[in-house]
Amino acid sequence: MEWVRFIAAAICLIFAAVMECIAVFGVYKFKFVMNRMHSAAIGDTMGLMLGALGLMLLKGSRWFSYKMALVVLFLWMTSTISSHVIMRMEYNIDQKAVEEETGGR
Amino acid sequence: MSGVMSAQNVLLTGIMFLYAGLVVLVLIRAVSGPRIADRLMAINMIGTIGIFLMAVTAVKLDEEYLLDICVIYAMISFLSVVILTKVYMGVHLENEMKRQKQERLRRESEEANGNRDKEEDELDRLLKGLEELSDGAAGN
Repeated sequence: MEWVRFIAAAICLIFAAVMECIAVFGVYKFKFVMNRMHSAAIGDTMGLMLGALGLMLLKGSRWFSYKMALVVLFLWMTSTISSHVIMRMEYNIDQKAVEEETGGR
Repeated sequence: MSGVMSAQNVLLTGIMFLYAGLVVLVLIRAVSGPRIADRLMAINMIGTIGIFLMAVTAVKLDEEYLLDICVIYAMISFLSVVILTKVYMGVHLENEMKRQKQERLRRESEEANGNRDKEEDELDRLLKGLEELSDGAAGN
């Protein structure tokens, strides 16, 4: 039983690490800020959720799980808001470059 | 039980090393990012990875209070991103207003120069006409 729980947690943690690696790879691969931000959001949502799930399974304590869920919910709310705020700043500062990159739409 | 604990230690240590490498890579992106938005996005990402590293440390050391620090760090990271964007937008708006003011002053001075040029042209034309008149008078 211990081993089953450990293997489930390990799978979740390894998938979280893979998601974070994909996010960092995308941050290096894409050429424009919007695309990079889309890639960074993968790590902020999927990577953090899987990592928190794995840590909850590994620890198995009730209050730890509650606090971890609080952290994940808070980051899910704030990462979208901060992405929006950064993008609004970018659009206000350099409107021409953003419109060139997105085809004027 | 001991086997599970040692395997857990190995797994958590490996994940911590991997995430430390990712933090270094994102930091390089933050230093080399051509725009301000790149840097802010990279800082946001470093904050997320740091929160996850704190949670891993909480499990590894078996100290639950580290998760409270996680929550506080998430709040401060969000606040820093929002305030930095506000500050950059304020700086940009101020620069834009200064530029527009200089543009207006330049245009006004150009308009004044243009008027003076026109007056000088008028004066030249009048002088030439006067010379022609005087030449004609001398010829006669």
